[in-house]
Amino acid sequence: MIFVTKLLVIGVDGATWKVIKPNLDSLPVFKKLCGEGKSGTIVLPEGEAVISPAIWTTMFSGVPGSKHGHEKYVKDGKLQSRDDIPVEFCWDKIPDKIVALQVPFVIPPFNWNCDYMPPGFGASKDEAELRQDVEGITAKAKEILASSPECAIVCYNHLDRVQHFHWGEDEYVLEWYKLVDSAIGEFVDKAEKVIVISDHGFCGVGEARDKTLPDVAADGQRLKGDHHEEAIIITKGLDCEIKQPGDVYRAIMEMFG
Amino acid sequence: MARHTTVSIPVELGEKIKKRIEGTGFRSVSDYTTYVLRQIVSSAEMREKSKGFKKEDHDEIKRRLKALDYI
Ligand SMILES: [Zn+2]
Repeated sequence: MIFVTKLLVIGVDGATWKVIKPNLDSLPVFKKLCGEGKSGTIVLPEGEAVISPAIWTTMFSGVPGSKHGHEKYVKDGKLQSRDDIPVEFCWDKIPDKIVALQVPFVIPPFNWNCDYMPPGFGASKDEAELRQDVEGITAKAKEILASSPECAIVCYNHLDRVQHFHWGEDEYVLEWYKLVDSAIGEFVDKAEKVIVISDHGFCGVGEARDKTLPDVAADGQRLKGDHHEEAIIITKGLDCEIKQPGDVYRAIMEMFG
Repeated sequence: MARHTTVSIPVELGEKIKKRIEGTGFRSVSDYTTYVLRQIVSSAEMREKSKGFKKEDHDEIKRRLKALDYI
């Protein structure tokens, strides 16, 4: 089979082996990818903030968090936008070759060469909205891949939301992994090389190297999960190894730059 | 393969660009000109887009982010 899309990067915010590995039989797409490709753990470097805006920025710019300094979706009361982040992303360097959907380094998540507005602006913890968003992103991803971009980037941030409030409720959390697993399965075979990566893993509050969140959310709901410094990586057909988030940027530039 | 159209620029400017791109990754005056124009157009588009984003939207997003405690 000849693929027009050479590389598909699937970002799954907050995905952790702690849930995937023991449940591979319920997650057929992850299971197949792990079998066909190489899987591993990314241990985020000490001193770098284990938070989504920072890591997604690093992943697609190659610039470490200590240099780009982008750590929060809202800074000094101002909602941050792409222009507030002093980096050149891979799509700035090779604008025609990349389509990127919902990269969550800003809220609403960032799109390149495509349009999509998530329900609740991508800042929802409402279950119905989150489900609707998984469906919306998946439909859009299929549309994008049908247009045959050389490089496609598709991100899901739902597991992060769910795990913050439901970590430890194993069955409930697994249902969301199943949802993402089957969503990915709808388009993962449309590219020659595949990277599946999370920005960080998850764990109970108090178990992370760096505590990133308070115990109770602003609206009084108790937070049960926190970001863990171990993220997942699966690659299929890739020549280089992804050891850190910034290696994704380097892999893209090596292939298309 | 992207389709192309022809744009005229003054010869003098063309010569200056030719000199400027010597030893860089740009293969031609067209390549360089496309690069520069694209930067200008995309940042203008970005500005227009963020203008289309209403103040109420910003407030709503901030309210939602606060509920998620990502602030
Ligand atoms: Zn995250």
